[in-house]
This record gives sequence, structure tokens and C-alpha cells, in this order.
Amino acid sequence: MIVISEDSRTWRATRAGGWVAVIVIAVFLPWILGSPANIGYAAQIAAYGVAILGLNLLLGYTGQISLGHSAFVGVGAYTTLLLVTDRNWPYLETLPVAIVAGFVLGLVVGLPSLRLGGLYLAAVTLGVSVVFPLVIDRFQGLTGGPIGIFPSNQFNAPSWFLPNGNAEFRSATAQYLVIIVVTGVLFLCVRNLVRSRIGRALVAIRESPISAETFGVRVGMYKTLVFGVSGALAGAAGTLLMIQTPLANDSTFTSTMSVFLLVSLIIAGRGPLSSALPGGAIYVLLVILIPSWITSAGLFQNREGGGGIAGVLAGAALLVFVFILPSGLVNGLRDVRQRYIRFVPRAGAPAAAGNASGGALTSPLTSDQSRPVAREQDPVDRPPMRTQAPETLLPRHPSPP
Amino acid sequence: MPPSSPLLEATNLSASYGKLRALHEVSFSVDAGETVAILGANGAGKTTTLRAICQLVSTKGTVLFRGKPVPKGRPSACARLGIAMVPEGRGTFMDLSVEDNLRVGGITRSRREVADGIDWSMGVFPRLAERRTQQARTLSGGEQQMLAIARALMSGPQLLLLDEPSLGLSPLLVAELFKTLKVLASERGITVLLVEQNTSLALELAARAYVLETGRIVATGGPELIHDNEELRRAYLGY
Amino acid sequence: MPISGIEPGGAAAKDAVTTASQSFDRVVQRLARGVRPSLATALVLILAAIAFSVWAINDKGGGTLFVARLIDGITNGTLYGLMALALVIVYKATRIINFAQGAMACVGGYLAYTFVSDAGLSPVLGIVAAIAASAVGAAGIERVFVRPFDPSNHIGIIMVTLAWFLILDQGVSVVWGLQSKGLPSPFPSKATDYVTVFGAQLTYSDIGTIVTILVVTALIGLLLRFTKFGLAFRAVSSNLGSSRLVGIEIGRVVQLSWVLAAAVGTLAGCLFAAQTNLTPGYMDNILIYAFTAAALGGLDSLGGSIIGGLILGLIDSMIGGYVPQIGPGLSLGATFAVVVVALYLKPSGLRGRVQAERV
Repeated sequence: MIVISEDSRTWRATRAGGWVAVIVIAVFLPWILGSPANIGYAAQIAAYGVAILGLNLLLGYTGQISLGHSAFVGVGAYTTLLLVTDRNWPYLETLPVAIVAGFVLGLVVGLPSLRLGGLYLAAVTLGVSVVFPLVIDRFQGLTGGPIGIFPSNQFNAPSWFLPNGNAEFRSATAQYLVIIVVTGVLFLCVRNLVRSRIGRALVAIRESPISAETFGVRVGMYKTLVFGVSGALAGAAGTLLMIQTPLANDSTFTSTMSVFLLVSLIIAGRGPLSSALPGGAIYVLLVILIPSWITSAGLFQNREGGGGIAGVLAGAALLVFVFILPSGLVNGLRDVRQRYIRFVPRAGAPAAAGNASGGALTSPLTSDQSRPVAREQDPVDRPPMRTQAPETLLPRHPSPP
Repeated sequence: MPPSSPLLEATNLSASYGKLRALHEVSFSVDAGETVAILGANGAGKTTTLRAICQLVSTKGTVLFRGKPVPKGRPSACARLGIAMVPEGRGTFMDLSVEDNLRVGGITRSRREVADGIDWSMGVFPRLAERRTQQARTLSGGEQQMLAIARALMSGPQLLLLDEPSLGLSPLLVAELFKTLKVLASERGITVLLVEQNTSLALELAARAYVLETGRIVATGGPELIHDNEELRRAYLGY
Repeated sequence: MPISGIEPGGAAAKDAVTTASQSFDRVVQRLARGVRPSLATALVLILAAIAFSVWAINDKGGGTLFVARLIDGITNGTLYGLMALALVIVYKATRIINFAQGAMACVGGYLAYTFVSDAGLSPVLGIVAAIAASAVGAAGIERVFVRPFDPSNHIGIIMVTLAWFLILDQGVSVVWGLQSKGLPSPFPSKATDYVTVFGAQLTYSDIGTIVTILVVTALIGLLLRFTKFGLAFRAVSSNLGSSRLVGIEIGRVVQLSWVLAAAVGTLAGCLFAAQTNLTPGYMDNILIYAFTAAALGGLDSLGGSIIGGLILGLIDSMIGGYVPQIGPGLSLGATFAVVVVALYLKPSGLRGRVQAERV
């Protein structure tokens, strides 16, 4: 067991080294990967990672289940496409607009969360993502409906960038680099948000909304704001996806995408911010890579619905994870790492975010440490959605003397 | 089962909520037909003791009921064994009618036994008879307590566990309740294990008492032993 | 959504108005007996509905069209209500929404198709066999994937339902392919099988669907009131802890509620399929309608789910039909928005009970 204190040189060196390594690898990844197709996948991983970052804020930090995320991504994507096609805006300049659009939609969808609890909210958000494609179809003149929008120009590399390179590689790399820069910036923003007072308020809300309220945290406002921020991030992700491939129609942003995003987040591990990129990777794996591998391997070639196998696998993977590793990959790896290397916080300072896990998603196969180990518990009312008539100290009908 | 062995016998019983140990190897016993009280301050572990008997918390150690160990981890087995519990706060089925509450109490029994049980309950608790078809949530605290006891008795138990029956009731109601309990215990020969904060009332009813403090038994004896022991009362019972 | 055939007739409009005024009289009598706050809201809504009806009949196409849309709304509404019933059954027993309920119903519909077209069973028998098969499947899913969880671990169980949603929803296309399939209706459905109501067609299929659903709902109501299982179910729904103390085996009750919900869902899936077609994911939108109906009626109220479904079906049919800006495609969105607003105002739904949270 190696113990490293957080203010030691070793710690700082490790962290600095870690960041340098990450940045170097990220920047030079296109040359490592080589083929434009793979670079494109890497770019998509980053873009979906941003979307999942937003979803994580909702689920991992305020404990709200949202099955409507595809609508926010779609809003950002369509905003970008419309501005680029109809108004000739450069792609990057549409990013702030998409962020605002996503934020606004997020606020609107988040409003019911002021009054409705977990399950209602989950179902309402599912409804939002089901209705979104219908709205796209309804305004076909604007959005192109089932056909979609085809901008005449895609995001191209500026002329000064790798002037001697292969054209496909150039544009793929340029797209990729822009995307990861934006991703990095957004990550930093969210990280700062989470480490601020706001972040702590969010954790308080997740753990016990009513107690948080009594401590002066305006729960409703925060919950709605987080929806807004989550929507903003998803909108940005939509723009990034369009930078990578400017293509969208009425069946791109469906409830299935929302479910897959949520599943990817669960498998990656909700709570720690660092699960966003692995989540993006899992999403791309499940939705894009596995189906294409299946097609190229010729399996299910005779069956027209064979693509559905990706969903079946995703569902099966989710089941496996919920039973065996409910806190997700990132948290699982962290637990393994903690057995060999432990980071000890400075005296008086709270533990670095690396040691905190995001709320209890407990597997039925392992015992949860905060509850009685017996599977059946608590003979008094089942929490949290029941009520009993308040016990009165005085009887309603005075008994006869 | 030889007549001299106790109805309920707990040996080195420990109970934990996760990592939090609430009972530390307590041992106690209750003979058939007795009324025994568990006393102590708040948080001493009284409710946990009852829960441990019913397997509602994780336990170590043995609990023998009628000579046989209570199966671990299966609270729903207790009713069939002959143990009935009235939990803290009554545990009333608020959405069901008074009559349905009683029916549920007897859900492990035959139709005839349930019908007889309901008739008996209505006789002993005329207030419940008046409100037979009303929703249980419309009952006052005292009426709900009576309903809870009647419901517990519907399963035909030999051991009745009562958790703070006086909580939230006016002194008049409490007196009436305890009078009823005394009669029930003697009439039907039911063994009662009673958790109470109202020490004096409990000692009027009980032949023996155990005093708990932070999960351990610190004293045991008859009512006189506890009444006359001022130190004990001051230290553990607060008066 | 299919629109029943329409026959011209001006007398129909007058009949509709007469009916409307008769209901108005009844409402006034109710008013005289005393009003509770929620009743007042209901009355306002009823008056609004009557005003809308009068406008629709006079300005927008006449009584026959109105009645045709009414029939559609009621038929679809009872179907939404039936699906909502399935959701509410599971919710009452477990406080969970089974997000896989629609996909399970979809599989049920496809199973009925297989029984009918491959095994040669009659449509009725095919549906019965599909119901039996889904019941067994649901019992298995509950036993293996839900029972191990602590009942209060809601998020874990919801993840399981989401996982099964993916598996079943996408699995259907793997097993049965993407082409749409037809499930023959269990009711007589030749072109001439209808009665005429105020000029509009009321097919035997519609009648059969509505009657079946009402009968099933009544039977379930009787089951819950008069059987031992029904009592245990209501007890578990009311107070889980006390149910244990009284000797009820929670696991068995939950399993049986899953079975009952699956049977109801499959019936809904088959009745829907008989009206439209079997395509992968055809129940996905219905799940939204069903949840909306359940929420409108109060998630813990079985009767409320049917009522909620009816109201939803009517709103859907009327708004979709009479408001061209929205049109049939977006009526799901409009209906949905209406209900979200309603829930916002009364979070517990029409007939639900306010739930308090424990700190």
C-alpha cells in the first residue's frame, strides 16, 4: 500500500505528469491513429462525452433522472445546421448560440422538476425526447423533416493548417482538434462549477433535498438551473457533432439516444466528472462501432433488423453492470486503485474529488454500508413516498371519563 | 417443549445497522404468559431489540422461540411462527378500511378464524366497530393504537411485541389502553414483551423488566427492584 | 390513428346538442348538492368541454364528424387507460415505473402474431396464448432481476427496467425483422361490421375493444377487493413494513403484480396491433400516452388510470382533429403538454393521494 499525501511533491508531480501526458496524447492522437475514420470516432467520443458530462451533472450531482437528453443535443445540432445553411455562419460561431438554446430548453424542461419528483420527472423527460422528433417533422419546412438538412460546406481546416497533408486527414484532424479544445474548455468550466459553493449545494440536494432546503439552499432553483446547464452542455455537444459530420434528420435525436446516453453514463460511472469521456467512448462503442463491426463481419446479414443487436447487447451490458459493478467502471477502477495507492488529504482540507463517489447505486449482490445488511428492513413506512396521518397528541374525540 | 423453558430466549444477541452496532450481546428471556418490559432512555436500543427478534435487522447470536431458532433474514416468517409486532407509530394500513386492516392482520389464517377474530375485535374495541368501514387514516391516534393491537392479535400469536404503545396518546387514553392490555394478557394468555418509555405505566403491567443502556442490559428485576433503586432510576430511566 | 367512417347527416348535429344539454342539466343538479374544490375544477373543465363541443359541431364540420372523433377518442382512450393500468399495478406494488412495460407489451403483440400465423391459432386463442407467455416471462424477470434488490433501491430497479426496455425493444427487430406485420382482429371486422351512431361509424371492433377493456378493469377491481391476493396487494401498496409483520410474502405479491401487469399490457398491445400494425417499437409512443394517463389519474389509483386514459384519448382526438396547426402528428406533444401543466398544478393527479417525503 502506497500512501501519498496531497501536498507532497510526489502528489504534485504525479498530477502534473498526468495532465501533461493526457494533453500530449490528446493533441497527437490523430497522428497516432492515422486513419481519418478513426480520428472521426475519437472526435465523436469527445462530443458525446460533453453531452454525458451534462447528464452526469443531473444524475450524479442532483440525483435527477433525465431521459430527454437527446432533445437538447438535437436543439444544439439543428441550431448549428440552420445557422450554417441559411445564414452562412461559420461553424464555431454557432457554438454560443447552441449553448444558449440548449440552456433555455433545459430550463423549460427543468421547470416541472420544481414540483415533480424522480419518477414523474423521468417519465416527463422521456416524453420530451419522444416529442422532439415529432416537432422536427411538424416544422419540416424549416428542418427538412425525414430528409434533414445538408449544409453545402462542412467544417474545413483553415488553409494554414498542415498545408501539405492529405485532404481527408487534414479536415478530420482539424475537426478533432477543435472539438477537443472546446471539450477541454467546457470540462474546466464544469469542474470549477462543481468545486464551488454551487457544486456543494448540488451534492447536498442529491443527498437530502429537504435538509438542504432547511439549510437555505433554494432547491427548486438549483435543480432547474442544473437542467439548464446540462442542456447547455448537450447543445454544445450537438454543435460539436455537426462540426464532425453535418448531418441530422428526424430520426437522429430520438428517445433511444437518450436511453443509450443514460446507459453509457451508468456503465461509465455516474458522479465523478472523469466518467464523461469513458461514457462517450461506451456510447460510440455501443451505437456506432459495434453495429458497424457486426455489419462488416457479415453476421445477421440476412436479417434486416440485425442492427437491433446493439441495443440488446447494451441492455445486457447494463444488467451485468447493475448487478456486478453498479457504481460504474470509473468508480470501480478507483476502488481497485485505492487498495494499492491511497491519496491522503492535507490536514484540514476536504478529500480531493477523486475519492468521492457519486451517490448510492447499490448492487443487490453486495451489502450497502449505509443500510441494515438484512435485505428486508425498517418495519415502519417504506421511504420515501408515503405519508402517515400526523400523530396527534390530543385525541380527536375525548374519551368518556 | 418442557414447561420450564422460556417462550422466548435470546442469547448473546447483537444487532447492527450497517456498521453501527446497536445491540451488544444481550441475553434475556420471557416465559409463557408473562409480561416483560424493556426500559431505557431514547436510543438505548429498545426498538432494535424487538426488531432483532423479528429479523428486521441483521443479527448475530441466537433467538429461540418455543425452543426453535427464529429463521434469519425472513421477517414475514414471524407471523406464522406466532410472533406479532405492533411497531412504533402503529404501522396502520392507512388506505385500507378498519375491517380490512383486521383482515390483513389475519391473512395467514383461515376464513373462519378471520371472521371470528374480527367479531372478537369488534366486541373488545367498540370504537372500532363504529368505524368498521371507515378508512384507517381517519382514526385518531388512540383508535389507531387499538386497531394496531387488534390487528396484531388477528394472527393468533403467542408472543406480542409492543413498541412504545403510549407514544402520542393522552394520559386518559394510555390508562385505558393499558387496562385493556392487562385484561387481554390474562384472558388470552398471551405473552407480552413491551418496550416503553413511560416506565411507571410499564411497571404496572409487567412482572419483570430489563433496563437497556446503549445496547447493553444494565439491570433486570421486578418492579420493586427498579422502583426502590433510586440510583438506577436516575441513571437510566431519568427520574 | 384510424378515423371511423363518416356518413353525412344534419340531424346528427341536433342530437349531439341535445345530449350535451342533457349532461349540462345533470351537472347543474350536481352543483346544487354541494361542491368540493376539486369538483369545481372538474365542472369548469366540463363546461369548457361542452363549449368546445358546441363550437366544433357548429363551426367545424358538423355533428357526425364530432361523433366520429368522439368514438376514436374513446376507443384509443380506453387503450391508453389499459396500458396505464399495467403501469399503475406495478407502481402500486413497488413504487417503481416499469419503463419496459411498453416493450413487453410489444413483444406480447408479436408473440400473438407468431401464434396466429405460424401456429395457426385463432386470433382470440393467439392473444390468450401471448398473454400466458408474457405472464410467465414477467414472473421470470421479476424473480431473477428485480427480487434481489432492496425494495427501496429505486434507481437500481429502474436501471433494470431500462435495460430490459433496450433488450426487448431492439430485440424485437432482431427476431421478427423490420417489416410491419398484421395481427388479425379478434372481433368481427369486415367492412360491414359496424353500427351507426349519429351518422358516424361505430365498428364492432371498437365496441369489442371498449367492452373488453371495461370488463377487464372491472374484473381486476373485483380481484383486488375480494381475494386474498387483492388484500395482500393493497396492503403492500399501503404499508410495506407492516405487510411483512403481518406475514405477507412481499416477493410473491410483487411477482404476481408483475404478472398481472404483463398480462394487461400484452392485451393492450394485441388490441392496439389489431387496429394498426405490428412494427418494432410500436408501443414506444403508447408508453408515453400511458404514463401520461396514469399520472393524470394519479399513479396510485387504478380507476384513475382508465379515467385518465379516456380524457387523454378525447383530448388527443379533439385537438388533433380540430386544431390543424397541431395536426395528428403533434397531438401527442400537445396532449403531453396539457398533462404536464395539469400535473404542475396538482402533482398528485386527479385521484391520487399527495405523497409526503420522509427526511
